[in-house]
Amino acid sequence: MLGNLFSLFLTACIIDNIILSKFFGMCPFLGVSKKVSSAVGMGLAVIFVIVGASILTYGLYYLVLVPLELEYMDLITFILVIAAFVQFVEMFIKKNSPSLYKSLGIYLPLITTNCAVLYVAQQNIANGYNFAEMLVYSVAVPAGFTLTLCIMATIRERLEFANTPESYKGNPITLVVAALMAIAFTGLAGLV
Amino acid sequence: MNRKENFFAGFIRENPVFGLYLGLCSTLAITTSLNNAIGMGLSVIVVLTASNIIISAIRKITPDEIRIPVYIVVIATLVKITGMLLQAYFDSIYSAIGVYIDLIVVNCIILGRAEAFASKNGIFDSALDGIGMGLGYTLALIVMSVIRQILGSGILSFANPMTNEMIFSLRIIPESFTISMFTTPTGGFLTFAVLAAALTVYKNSKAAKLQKKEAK
Amino acid sequence: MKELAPFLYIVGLGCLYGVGYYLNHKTPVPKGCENLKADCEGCKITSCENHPIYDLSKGEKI
Repeated sequence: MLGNLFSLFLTACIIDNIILSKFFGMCPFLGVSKKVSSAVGMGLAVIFVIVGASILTYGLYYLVLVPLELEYMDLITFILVIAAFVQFVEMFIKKNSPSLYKSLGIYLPLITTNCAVLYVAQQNIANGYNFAEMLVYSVAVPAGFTLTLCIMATIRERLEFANTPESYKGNPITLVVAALMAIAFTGLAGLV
Repeated sequence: MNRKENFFAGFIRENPVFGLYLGLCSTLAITTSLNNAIGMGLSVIVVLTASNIIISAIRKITPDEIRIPVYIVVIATLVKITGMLLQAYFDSIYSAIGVYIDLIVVNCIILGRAEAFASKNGIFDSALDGIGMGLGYTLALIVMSVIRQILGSGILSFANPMTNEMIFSLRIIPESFTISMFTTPTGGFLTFAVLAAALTVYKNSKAAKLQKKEAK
Repeated sequence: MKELAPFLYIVGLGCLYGVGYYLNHKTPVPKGCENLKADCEGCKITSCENHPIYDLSKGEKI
């Protein structure tokens, strides 16, 4: 049981890394990976939102949608719950913890329309996970996201001083680096 | 900006994918085959045009404070309908890219156009904008998938999405010379980077030409 | 009654989000954080308030 959960974690976090093999969450990956500090803040915000939103959507799906036979409303439920959750979290943080808002809250507006959150909510249902698996999966995917984002931010801080061709400056060179990272991550495919 | 210029802007100059970097997730993921690219492109055109029309039609009765929630409800409904239609009539495409169809909801092109264009312009203009931007997106998908498919597998093929019958299948590169890396995520990133850089070069050279003209 | 359930459900969820959105935008940003932005450069939509050059193009249509 525990072994299964562990291999699920490794698969979701590293082998099927959400950015490098599934391509979800590309926008923040390109946008917020310029500094390590912002990458960490964004990563933590994503972990928090994905775990919270996954539990909410998982509960709603099995406790409300399935009994009422409204499974076809999954998509609209997920996106609305995620969006509402982000709004309430942001409000809560604004009111109660300015320091948390500084490090994490400013990234919350970027998360509402982050495909990673919706993807995890949907995969939890599509793969038929039980509650424990759902929790592990919802931690593993954003953990993989944060890992990749932080690695990328460290590389990009160095890249600032590199002699990049004019036309590759900005996003294109970031994508080339991502391609090299993807090769490295495919090398880990035999891990599990 | 006049209508015609606005319509064609999305094709190359303001291409949503290579120019504005919108909708990258789906672009990189589904361009492994031409079939998927066309299926995805058409779904986006349908959703984008419909959402632009609806949002433009209700722009005057939408309270400004809660416009984003309204847009999201409209878009999510349209995406679900499109997904269900695809599942019913083009099952081979849906089984290949179904996840990405559902995630059109959070595709920045749709919400971006709703916010930047449809909420400020009339119904007809918004519909045109939707079709133009959607075509630009489809064009980008087709270019990328053709490159990746030819380099990765050497074969350019297209199958009828209804019956799964092969319409054409051309071997362009002999099998022993293909680079299978291009069908993997790595190839997606690389192809995208090169194409985006190429568009920058094109834009820069055009801007330089314009400057020269003005200097004269 | 069963046919009405989906409508009530969607309206309920939509309202929940609407209320959350409204309340959140009414809540002032804490002191010292007014000028903090995420500085996201992922896409080139400059009318997005998280884009670094948003302030320059404020009020302009793209």
